[in-house]
Amino acid sequence: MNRAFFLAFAALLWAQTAWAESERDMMLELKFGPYRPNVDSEFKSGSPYEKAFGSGSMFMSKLEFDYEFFKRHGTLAVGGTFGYAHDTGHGVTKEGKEASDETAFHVIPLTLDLIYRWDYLAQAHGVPLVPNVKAGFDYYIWWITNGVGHVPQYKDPNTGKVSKGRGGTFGGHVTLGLSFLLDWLAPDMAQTFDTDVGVNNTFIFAEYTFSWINDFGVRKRMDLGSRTFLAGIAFEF
Amino acid sequence: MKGFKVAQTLLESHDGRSWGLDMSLKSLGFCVLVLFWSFSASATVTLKYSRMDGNGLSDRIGKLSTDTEHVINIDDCIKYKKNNTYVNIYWSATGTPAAGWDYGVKISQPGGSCSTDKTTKGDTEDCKVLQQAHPEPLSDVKVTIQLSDITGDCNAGTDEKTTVYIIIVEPSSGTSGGTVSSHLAIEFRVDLKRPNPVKIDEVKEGDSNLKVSWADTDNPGEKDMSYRVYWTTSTLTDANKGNAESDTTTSTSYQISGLENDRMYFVGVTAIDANDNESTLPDAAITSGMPIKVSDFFEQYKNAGGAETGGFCFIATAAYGSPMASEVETLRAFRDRFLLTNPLGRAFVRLYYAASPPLAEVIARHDVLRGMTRVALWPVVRIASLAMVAPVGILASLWLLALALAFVLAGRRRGGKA
Repeated sequence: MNRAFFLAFAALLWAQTAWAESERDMMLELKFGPYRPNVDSEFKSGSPYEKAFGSGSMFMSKLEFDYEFFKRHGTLAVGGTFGYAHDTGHGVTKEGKEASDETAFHVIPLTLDLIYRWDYLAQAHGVPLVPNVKAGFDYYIWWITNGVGHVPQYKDPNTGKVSKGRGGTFGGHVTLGLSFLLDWLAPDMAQTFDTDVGVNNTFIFAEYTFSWINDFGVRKRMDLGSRTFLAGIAFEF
Repeated sequence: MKGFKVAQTLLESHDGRSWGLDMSLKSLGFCVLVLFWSFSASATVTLKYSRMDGNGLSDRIGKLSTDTEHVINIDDCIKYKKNNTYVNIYWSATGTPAAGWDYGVKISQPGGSCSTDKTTKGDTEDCKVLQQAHPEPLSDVKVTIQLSDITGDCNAGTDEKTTVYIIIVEPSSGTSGGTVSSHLAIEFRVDLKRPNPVKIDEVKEGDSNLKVSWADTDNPGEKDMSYRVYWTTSTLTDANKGNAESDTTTSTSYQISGLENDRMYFVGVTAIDANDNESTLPDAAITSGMPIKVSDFFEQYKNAGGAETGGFCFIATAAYGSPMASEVETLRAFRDRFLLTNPLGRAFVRLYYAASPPLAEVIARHDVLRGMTRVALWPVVRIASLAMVAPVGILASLWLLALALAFVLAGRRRGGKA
């Protein structure tokens, strides 16, 4: 029984590596997950973000495009990510009660990544797991809206300085991920996918990101960094 | 109050005698005879309507023969009566009527109809007959009608059609004498029925705004309804609503913004049908509310001591030290002339405006970075200057350069794969 299973597994691995793939040099990832910025970490007491939006997370959607420029014992790539998330909550009256007016927080994260995928085992031996690590710079465009959908302004009662509820914040991130090669489950279909449309490999993946979005501490900004988990599907072509 | 279908129909009819024979004879032989009779007795002209004009006509009336409806609503009715508005209908005929032909125009009552086999008023019909002189030639003939003859009583509260008939009656060419008639019927939809009022559900009090929502349950089946929201700090009634501020929406809720906090506002909503008739404004459609101060998230954040100041500034200004620097002005002119004039350029400008401000802040604080940025921007500024002087040549050269680069890269890539 064990020998039969081993032979079947070996045959599957052989089938995985037997056909000649088309050239691969790009990766497209579509991923989703929760996102909750560390805005309240700025305050020793009080938590304005939680007060406005509650304790939950907003839903982040991201699209990443990578160009693979080095393939030896793994793949090195550079990539960029575009995403969007928003959360909606209620304003508060001067009595501290929840108002009917809504207030919203929108964020568009843009990232520039250097990516290393250790796909040697997948490419050479058909092992369907590909760990990866990403690191890069971030730029988060964010804006807040008030009850009538406008970006609010705040005038400091002491200094008279006016602040606008929108901006952009630089930062950085490190991501650890693991991808599962779906081709391993259906090699014939994967081969057809490659032959017909040039997609070499299809993955489902999950990744955990540590991000520090605070203009590197150069000046005091709203902290949009987070620890977040994203999962999605990726196509290598 | 659904639309009556198309007003201008071209009809050829027979005189009463021929129809009578047709209905009474049963045998095939007689039917053949009737067919021959009918053919020989058919009218020699057909009438066609082309357009309308008049003094102070609403667009709603539809002045072309291709317009699917000719509508008069309550406001039009009142205005037309007050101003003695008339409409000119232009029509033409093809063919020449037989000698001794007669001509007339009839106007039905709203919801009524008129006989078309003669140009005079029948004994039982309630129609207005306009005696017209024989037009000559029968081309682009103008018929002038007072619209008050079409509308009837503006307070009737009905939604009916009134038909204008242009009739030509001519002696039959058959052997048994009689007449045949041709007519043109133009229908006017006289919609004098107001929609039913709405009922206010609730008004939500926000910061400088009130959000009012309502239910429109008494106008079932009505399509293309819209609603007019009135608001005022004075008492609001149906009679004085014209003095209030107002806006229209197709939704059943509306957010009134720009209001003064801690001040009472009266809010009312009327329904407006597809023909722009407006409902009355009874008490059930009026409510009141008071906008109140509300802290949005940014205000809560700042009140809690948050340091974020938001806002943007720009890379070139930071690098050259002043928004009035000639290089900055060159780039600004290039932006206005070549980028803001096309979608791709506008997208680039939006992206630049969104992404550059924080970078600019860092650049502005470091002399080394400012110097490096000026060096990096030098070719950009030079190309922008040249483009301002010789736009076509420079831009064409850039495109050709980009195209050549793309070909080289593509060729290298293909070569690598082979």
